[in-house]
Amino acid sequence: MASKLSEADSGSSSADTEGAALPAAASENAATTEAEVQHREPLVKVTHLSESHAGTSLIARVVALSGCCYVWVGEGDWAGSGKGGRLPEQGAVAAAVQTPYEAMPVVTELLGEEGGFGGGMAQRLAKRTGQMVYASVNVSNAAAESLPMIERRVLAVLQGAG
Amino acid sequence: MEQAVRQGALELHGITTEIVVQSFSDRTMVNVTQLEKMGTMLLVTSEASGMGGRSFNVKTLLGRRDDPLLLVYARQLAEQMRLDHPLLLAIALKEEGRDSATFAAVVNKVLALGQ
Repeated sequence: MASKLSEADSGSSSADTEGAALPAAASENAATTEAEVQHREPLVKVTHLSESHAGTSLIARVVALSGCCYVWVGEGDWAGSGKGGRLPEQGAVAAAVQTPYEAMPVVTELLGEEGGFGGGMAQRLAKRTGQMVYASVNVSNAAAESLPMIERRVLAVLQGAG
Repeated sequence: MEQAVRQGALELHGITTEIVVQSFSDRTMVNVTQLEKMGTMLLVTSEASGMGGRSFNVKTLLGRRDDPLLLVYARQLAEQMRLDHPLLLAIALKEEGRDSATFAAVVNKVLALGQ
């Protein structure tokens, strides 16, 4: 299990040279900081969607921020999970943003190979919402027929959040 | 079944930091934001080193490439979370939220969300 981080572990190499005097002061600072931290209810809205069509089930997750969002789409039967109860794959990550230089948003693959479904979805959602959209779409070609339906629902979420 | 999405938020010195942790089979994605933006995206991969530990490689995919604090966040989170796959970090910090106390609180919160 990962250990809790104190301020003394924040990666400063100078801590190694200050010897025994540092740990006590760092512990006091860490205890003071812990007392000052207030845990809040998260305000970032995460929406889970699922759509079944022609024997395939798609699940989607939308993390809505201000002026941008992250969308993940995968195959599965339960909201937020993949087939067989295992965690699903994230797959490639594409990003799209509207610019004043072209009619369609500029799209690029940040991770993974180009040519997947994520780039197109990110581009279309960016066009419709005006937001910067990051998208990961990890579905088989057979399940891709259902993508337009879940994309419409994702769009509704983004337009409702905006 | 492992929980796929975990969220949290903390406030320290008047700055609120939102955290979203998404677990996938091939990657873990962590959003840390004080600006309600995705911010800079970094990918951290690790491999066993010859000395018995692990070596970490941090790559900036999008955003600020001149901010060493973001690299520190990425490396520290990857190391503390002890993942067996890459970490994708999206991080957006305010100028006032770049102190070491916030850094420690954010890392601790991410670890707590993972437990």
